[in-house]
Amino acid sequence: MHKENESPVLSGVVGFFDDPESLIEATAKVRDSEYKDFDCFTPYAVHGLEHAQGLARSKVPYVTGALAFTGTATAFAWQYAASKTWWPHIIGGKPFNSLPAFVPIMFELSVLFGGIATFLAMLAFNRLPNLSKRSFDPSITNNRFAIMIESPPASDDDETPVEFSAEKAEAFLKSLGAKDTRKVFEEGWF
Amino acid sequence: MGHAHAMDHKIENPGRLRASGFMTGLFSFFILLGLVSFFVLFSIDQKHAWSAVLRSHFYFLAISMTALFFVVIQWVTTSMWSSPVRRIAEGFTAYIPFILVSTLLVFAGSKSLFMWLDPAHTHGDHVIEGKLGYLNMTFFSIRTLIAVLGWAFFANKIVGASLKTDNGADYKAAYESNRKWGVGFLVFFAITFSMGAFDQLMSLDPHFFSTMFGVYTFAGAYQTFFAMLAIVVIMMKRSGYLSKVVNENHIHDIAKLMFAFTVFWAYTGFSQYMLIWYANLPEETGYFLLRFNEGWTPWTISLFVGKFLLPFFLLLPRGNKRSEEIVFLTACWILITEYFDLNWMIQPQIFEAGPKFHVADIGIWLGFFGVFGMLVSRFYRKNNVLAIRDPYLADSVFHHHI
Repeated sequence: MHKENESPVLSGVVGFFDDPESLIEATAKVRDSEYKDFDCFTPYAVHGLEHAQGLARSKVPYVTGALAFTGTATAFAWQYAASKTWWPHIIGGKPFNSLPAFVPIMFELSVLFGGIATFLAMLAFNRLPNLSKRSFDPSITNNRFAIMIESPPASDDDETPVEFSAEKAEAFLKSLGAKDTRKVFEEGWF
Repeated sequence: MGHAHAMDHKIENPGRLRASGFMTGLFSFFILLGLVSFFVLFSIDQKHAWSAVLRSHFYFLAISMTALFFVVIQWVTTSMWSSPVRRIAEGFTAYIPFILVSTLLVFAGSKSLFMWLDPAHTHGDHVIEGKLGYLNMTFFSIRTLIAVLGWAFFANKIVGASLKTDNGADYKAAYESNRKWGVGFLVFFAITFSMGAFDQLMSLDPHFFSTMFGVYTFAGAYQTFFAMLAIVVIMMKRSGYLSKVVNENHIHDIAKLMFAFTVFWAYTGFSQYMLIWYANLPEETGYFLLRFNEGWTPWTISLFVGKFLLPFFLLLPRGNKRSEEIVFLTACWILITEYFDLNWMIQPQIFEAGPKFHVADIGIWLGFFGVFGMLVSRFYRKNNVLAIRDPYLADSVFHHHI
């Protein structure tokens, strides 16, 4: 709940755009500006935005690959142990260690491990689930595109504190063609 | 995004392939080499010579027919990504009329290749005698010729409609015509290509049958087609013809398909093997027992490693699929492994003890390659190497890929 007595903490400044083209153009300029902490909000996936934001490629595929091959190895080890050592049975006159019969399971377990790993890695890299933040404006899930320039976190060491002026950031976004700008305050748990 | 930018860009027509005396000379030399190799090998071992002809015949039949299949898929789905490279694939179909000639060569050598044509082999063998209603020279030649003529007809119809648009014909009409004929071709292709694989490769062992044989042959062929496409597209890009329209995204897309069909080939190959291994029926297991005997086991294992494992890991990382050098080298490697795959299907039926190799084997392949190169480069010399009026071209060139 929002406490009445505390003054609200500024989390950033947001600028709204009407179409994805102007958002991409503005984003590229924000990327090249002094503001390093910023994020974009769009109602749907916009192709090319990741380049404008200067995002590095996702590391999810490496997790998928590593876990998929772990799945292959696990399936083989498991079946080998089960049918050769733990419970040896003669089935269809085949040897205990029958690689061809193991392959479908090895494939399936690669897919299962890879799939689950992809999902979990995606959540982890996106720091999800995140219950502490809420959508600051419903229009970004409907028809508007937004760039949010975040105010740097209050530094707790003696490094030079970054000057952040909300007015300056708002003016900057306006100069990039934002139709509307405003400050966003932290609201904590809702 | 694609639309807004596409409107601003004008794509220059790269025109036709400029004649190169060196290239024509090289292909002519290969054809001559092929003829000499055939007569050399024929004088040493007739069966060996005809098996080399069958292998090379099917190799280029497979590439040019899967090229037509690819082209038709692009037309039927009104595909956007492929429009800068579709004309290159259409060029491969220029080889299709020659399949008629190479099929006649296979007919000429059929007595040395197909044991079901030899009464001394078939007499008293109830399994083969039961199949002679299908496996006889008359029916074999009739259905094979119908298939080949049908392929040439569809190639002419579909690629012809594409070429007409270069001279101002309406693109919409081409799409409508090619969708209609293309869907017909897909059905015809599925039946006739499987039939070709059954008749010309599977029937080398007339006891053996596998319903997956057609799709297995197709998978290897389609993988090889993408390799050939990647090679020609990269060469065209490097020599400047397609440098303005083909970018790393298109190379990436072709490499993705090459990767996909590398996996699909292994999938069909393994599925065929596993079911036969599991069911353990004598007339089916013979095929694999032969290929796992002392002489052929190394070949079988290296085929799995060379045609699946190696390209799989080479094409797995994204960066490799976007690197022209790596895609080019992997594609060349896949072209070699298709030769090994076809040899694996053909030679064990003739030389049971193990693989037999003669330098003339390569000479005969080069002979067919010379014909392929000659006909395909002639196509590019007579037609634009880019379907310049394709309405999807601008979108494809400036499209943002993920």
